[in-house]
Amino acid sequence: MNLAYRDTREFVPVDADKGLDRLTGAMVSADSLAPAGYTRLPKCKFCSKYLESETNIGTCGASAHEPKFMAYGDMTAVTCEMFAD
Amino acid sequence: MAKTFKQVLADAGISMDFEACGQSPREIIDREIKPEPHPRVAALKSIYMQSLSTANNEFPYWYTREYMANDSEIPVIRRARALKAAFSHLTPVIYPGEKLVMHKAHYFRGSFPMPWLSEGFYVAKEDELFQDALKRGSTSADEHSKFGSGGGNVVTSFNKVVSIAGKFGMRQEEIPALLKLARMWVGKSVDDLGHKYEQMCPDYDIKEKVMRNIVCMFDSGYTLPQGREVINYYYPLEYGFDGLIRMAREKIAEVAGNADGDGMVGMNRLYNYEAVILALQGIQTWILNYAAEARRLEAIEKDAAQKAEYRDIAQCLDWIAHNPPRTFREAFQMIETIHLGVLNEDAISGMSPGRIGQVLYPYFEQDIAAGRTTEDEVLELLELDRIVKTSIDCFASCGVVGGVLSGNTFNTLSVGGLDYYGNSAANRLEYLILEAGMSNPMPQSTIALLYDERLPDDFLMLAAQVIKTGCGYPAFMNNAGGIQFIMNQYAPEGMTPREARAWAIGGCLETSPGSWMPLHLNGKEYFIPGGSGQPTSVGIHFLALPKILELTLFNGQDQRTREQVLPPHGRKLATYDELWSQFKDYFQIVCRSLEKANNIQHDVWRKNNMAVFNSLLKPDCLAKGHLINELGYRYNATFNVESAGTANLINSLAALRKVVYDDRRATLEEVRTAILDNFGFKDAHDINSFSIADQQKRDDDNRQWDKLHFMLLQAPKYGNDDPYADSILRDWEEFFCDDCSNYMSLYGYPMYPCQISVSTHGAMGSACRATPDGRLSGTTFADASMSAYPGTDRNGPYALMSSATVWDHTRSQNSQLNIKIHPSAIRGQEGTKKLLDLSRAYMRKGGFHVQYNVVDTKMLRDAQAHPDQYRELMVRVAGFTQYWVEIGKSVQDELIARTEYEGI
Ligand code: SF4
Repeated sequence: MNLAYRDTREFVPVDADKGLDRLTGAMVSADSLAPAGYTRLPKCKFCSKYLESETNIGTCGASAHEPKFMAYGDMTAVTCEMFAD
Repeated sequence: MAKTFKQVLADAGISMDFEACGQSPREIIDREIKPEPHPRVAALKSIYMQSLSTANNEFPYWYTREYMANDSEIPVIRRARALKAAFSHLTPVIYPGEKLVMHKAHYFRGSFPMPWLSEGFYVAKEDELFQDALKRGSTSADEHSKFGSGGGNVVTSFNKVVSIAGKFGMRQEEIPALLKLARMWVGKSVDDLGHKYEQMCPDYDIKEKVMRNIVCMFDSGYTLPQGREVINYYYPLEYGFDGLIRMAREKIAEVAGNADGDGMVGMNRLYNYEAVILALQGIQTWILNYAAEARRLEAIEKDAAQKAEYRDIAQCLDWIAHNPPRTFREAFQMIETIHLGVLNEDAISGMSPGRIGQVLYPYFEQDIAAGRTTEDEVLELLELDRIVKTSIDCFASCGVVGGVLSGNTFNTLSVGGLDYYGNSAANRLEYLILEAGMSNPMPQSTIALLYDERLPDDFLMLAAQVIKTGCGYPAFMNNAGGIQFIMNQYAPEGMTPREARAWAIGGCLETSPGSWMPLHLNGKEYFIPGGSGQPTSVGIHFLALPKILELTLFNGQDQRTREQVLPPHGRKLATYDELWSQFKDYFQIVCRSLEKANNIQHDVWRKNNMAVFNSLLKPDCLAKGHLINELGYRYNATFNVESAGTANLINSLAALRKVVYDDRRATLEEVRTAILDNFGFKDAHDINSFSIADQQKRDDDNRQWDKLHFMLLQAPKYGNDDPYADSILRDWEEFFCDDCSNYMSLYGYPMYPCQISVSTHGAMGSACRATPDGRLSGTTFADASMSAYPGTDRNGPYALMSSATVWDHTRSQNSQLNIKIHPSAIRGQEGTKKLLDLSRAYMRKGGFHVQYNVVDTKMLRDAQAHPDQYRELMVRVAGFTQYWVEIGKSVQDELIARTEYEGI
């Protein structure tokens, strides 16, 4: 299944609505579908520690807080050292 | 159609021209000079032009997560840990073609909310934001064109983007997180805690009414706790981040458990140094994450030239994350990183880079001499810097970003002035800075030229040429005057005449103290200037002077809301002296109530939200072991009182004195009644124009007020070299400059006057009824503090400058004069020289600041009608330059109405 541009590593976000396709240089809509083969961007929603409780929001199982601290699925996780596929 | 103000006057044979010194040509005349940037810069600028202000929650998420996990920690450590976590987790983004990299957040114009300062807005708007987030999903061309007309502002929600406060766009998927994070700060934010304690002030009730009725515009404690100051890049440049961490570790060994005779805060030094280390580690990780991203891009890039550029970026970042820079490029990247880092630490508007042409000169000089770089490469970097700075957005509280700042963040850069030895400080790099301002005209950095008689003529001529491009910079600032003010204000803290020369502009035109620091590069020592004072964006901000006059005339009652704002004075105001005396009394009551409440807000800020990164950059925090909150900065007497609407106050007092008290042609009661009836005109809000020229008579008006209105309009006006009005200005300035020192900041220092309006003249005018000078209800006040009210300056710019300098400008942090000149008035080399002569004349008269809008008013009208065709049009407003399409209508209207000089 093709990913939305904004869920790929080839997407360079310009603003909340659009960004550049790094491979073609074209300005594309963030929500449009990326070509097949584009790489999935690490995000909380793709992390096995993320537990969604309501739409777009949940908890992070890796947090040391009790109860577990919130997380939101759309957050980019390239810098999260606890991200797990 | 109802008659406009201008037509009504013309019918009566009264000329209130909005042109002076000639007539403008019939066709629209463009600016004379239009240079082009380097191709790389043009490509990135084109991305900027298409990008929307975007906010996300990454920084607040990690900040809050770490902060909440450390609730039993010492406040400064808790804060530093939160900052470290937030910086370490920022997602890096590098755009193709960038050479100076790093962004506040991972969007071109990225920013984020700081609910630890104030969360009330999001919580109050919870339902609205949720609904917006849920219902979004379809797009409409109409919606697109709406925000397109506002430049990069997301004025309305569209697609899956939710508009926050008509300015920032946020993905709908992030809204639940925004609200949840905001709720975690309820009762804990600076806003909430400050509010809890400010209510204990006996005059709190007055303060609330003053704010509610827009007599004063904003609470600085939780909106913009820092800013309008000059940053200091010295320590990382000299020691590198590893060196600073080493220094802090050595200091910890010295001070741990040792009060050193200071029983109050001596022991805090240990925690402060530990906090410094944590903050620096966060900054280092942030830089290294960018370096890793550059390496990733290098690995996947196919184009050899771009691949090499990614490699250069990675090498540069890897080096500066640990070490002092060796080259111009590394030094430039380092100061860019530091700048963005400080801006991410707090909600800051007006963090000025200061005199970076002098800070970077050692690297420039040595690289050029060694053939490591060329002037063309340097020029390209300077042009790129203008994109970096213009892309900086500040997600402060919403009314502040729009109503006060017009979306600007005031990263003003200073050039000129004098060096450590007292010689002209203008250097070759500063010529290139001016050229970059011309070849890549963008609002930031706005440039301040510290005018001194010792600056070379060709440097000043180049500056005048830049002004002619219509970019609204450089502004001419009086170097001798600035130094004098710095000495007056900071001598009690040890300021010397030599150190006073290191001053620069912080924010729009806030005179800010600096220091000379000895930078060493390849065995050579250079004294570079950098900021060493606290923020000047703090204190009593902004006071609507005409509104205080309205309260004076109406016994303390606001005539828009009918609320009794101030205690009734009960005086008859039978003489001008009585009126003037009562005005001053009210001014003082207002200031006193604001002084106390603001001190409490800032005190809460310093206890829980103190600057760590910004502090460690400023002399002498690292040496003393105290951050900003414990008077670690070298200069701390920076809080001030800001005014707006000066020209309307002066003109109103002059009109009352002339018509009511001297000539007795009308009674005060008649003037009051006419004001309440808005002289027979509609309210500005009813016609959605805030320009005096466009105001329309009401259909039911029976012209009963025309005679009185004309008398008031024809009374002496400020800006015409008329002693009748100008002496009132002098009286006001004498009182104002003296009175400010009666208010004291939480740091125990007296305040001083600051006379800039930013954009408050629009918002505050809109909440003010008609005034005795003939200004109509809801229309914008005069811009700045020394600018004339539109249409009232009839004797040319030299007369205006004479009026402006009847008082001693060195007693105030600043004053502000903006003049609109038609491009045809300064054509060619001769025109450039005329412009320089005019500016120089003002400086010699003792004026502090002058700047110009070189623009045809007809073009502004056209731009208002067809904003899509004017995306790149820039104008000067108060002390800053902004894209026309990104400023509010009330300020646009004033700019259109402002007198246009057709000749000098
Ligand atoms: S571990 Fe990291 S990526 Fe995974 S849910 Fe937690 S914060 Fe998100």
